[in-house]
Amino acid sequence: MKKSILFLSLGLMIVLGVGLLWLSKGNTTQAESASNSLHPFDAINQKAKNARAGNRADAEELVGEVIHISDTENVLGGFTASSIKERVGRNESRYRLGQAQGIPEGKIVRTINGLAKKLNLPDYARTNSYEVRKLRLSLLPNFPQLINQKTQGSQPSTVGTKLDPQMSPAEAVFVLAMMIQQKMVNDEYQLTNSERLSKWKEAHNHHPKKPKKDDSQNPASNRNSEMRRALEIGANSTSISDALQLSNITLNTLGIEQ
Amino acid sequence: MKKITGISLAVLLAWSAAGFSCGGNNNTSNPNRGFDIQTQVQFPNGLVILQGGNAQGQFQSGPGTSGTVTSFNRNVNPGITTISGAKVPGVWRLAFGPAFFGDSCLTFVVENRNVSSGSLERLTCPGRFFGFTATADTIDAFNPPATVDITGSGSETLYGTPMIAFYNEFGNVVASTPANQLLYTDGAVSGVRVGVSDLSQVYDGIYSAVVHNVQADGTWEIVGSASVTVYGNPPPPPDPGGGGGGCEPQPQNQEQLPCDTYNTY
Repeated sequence: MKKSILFLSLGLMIVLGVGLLWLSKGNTTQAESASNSLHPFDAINQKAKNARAGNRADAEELVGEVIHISDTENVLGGFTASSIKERVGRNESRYRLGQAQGIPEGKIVRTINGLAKKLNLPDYARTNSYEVRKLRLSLLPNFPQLINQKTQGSQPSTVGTKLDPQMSPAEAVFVLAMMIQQKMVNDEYQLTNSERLSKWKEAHNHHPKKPKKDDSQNPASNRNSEMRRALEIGANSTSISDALQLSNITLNTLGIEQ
Repeated sequence: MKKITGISLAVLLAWSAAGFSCGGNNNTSNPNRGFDIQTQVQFPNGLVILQGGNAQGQFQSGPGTSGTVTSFNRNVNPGITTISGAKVPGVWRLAFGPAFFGDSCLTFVVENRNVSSGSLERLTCPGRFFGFTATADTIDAFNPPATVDITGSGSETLYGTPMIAFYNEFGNVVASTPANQLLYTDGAVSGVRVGVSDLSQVYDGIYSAVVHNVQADGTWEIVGSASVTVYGNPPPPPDPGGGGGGCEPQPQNQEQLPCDTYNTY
């Protein structure tokens, strides 16, 4: 019993963590078959489009793509994979049918920062609404059918309107997983609030004399490995009960109803 | 103790999207430890996504006191791949690129790395852009081109002219305009051309040009998005007093995201 609970917990965490790996089809088998199939980006866009009508099966298929394409299904085992697909898929379907609210961007912030606090990660592992918005805009070109898709057709985007801060459950899980990836490997996202502000100023400053950059001025240069070490420490200091609860709490915090 | 370690791994696995080695064997005394590689794709807009692909390596020089493997060439999954038995320490020529036509990598990248036992080598290739592309994609705010072509499939005129909305970095629409005309390649629609109006009031930044088809009911459907960089008109400095409590100070004269109390969570 304990084993199965652990497995379930572990599986949920994997999906949250590697959900976006469905993007990846790098192994030999996938490579061999890829020439005859859609690129994963296109496949996800197609499934997201199919799921828009609110059909439960289509919604689960969209979520299942997250699990399946990355080979995560092999890691999870059938039961765990299908339970996640069912939970998120059900929420996605209800959202599409107008029976449930969307997931606000703030839930991503809360979830990421909650994980960072729980695992005692460096300050640059935390995020904020600006960064979540930035990430969604970065994802938009490759995933136009998933990002910023409203329950009904989009109203004309006149000047002054904005990216909808409410996301579908599938988009929310996608964005969460992507943010985790960025926090782990992308210097652009491994910044504290003050560093983000400095970087913003620098990017928008066209004075002729720009300060010359070197490694000492680029604190993010070694943060990939620093994050790795911090996670090791954070994980080892997490109690058994906390670890078992974390996966469910993560989905709950994100606002994915059980 | 083993159980604790195992459960801790569950926590670590939450972060394995980054290819984080989940308590992997970093025992550098193991002569067959070799080293790890992690492959990823970086897109023009800065986004990094873990991707598989073709990874190759060739031992170049160095002590190589442990391990016997001096080369590898394999298609790898996202995440960590261990090159067991690799000759280390030493200089390795590492390459990462597309495993097949249409892969996420645009091209191969090759570089020499000083590799040690158990080290993690991140290999990044430039991403093949899957969305739309804009030409020109970099615009002087005070000397803009008359038009910009946004290429990508999916635009149609069945219920109206495609509409293009320009989002700033905060996700706010700063301009919205119909396409001037559709672009065709070999008889098929390959994109849209939009007129560029006065940009003197547009600040430096990266903007998302989002192309929509108009639906039968008048609503818009996104068909693609391209990035456009505007320069030459730096915005006023951010309000130094606008932050605090974990809320990000934002520049003046641009709508701010709500100050999110979650930021202090």
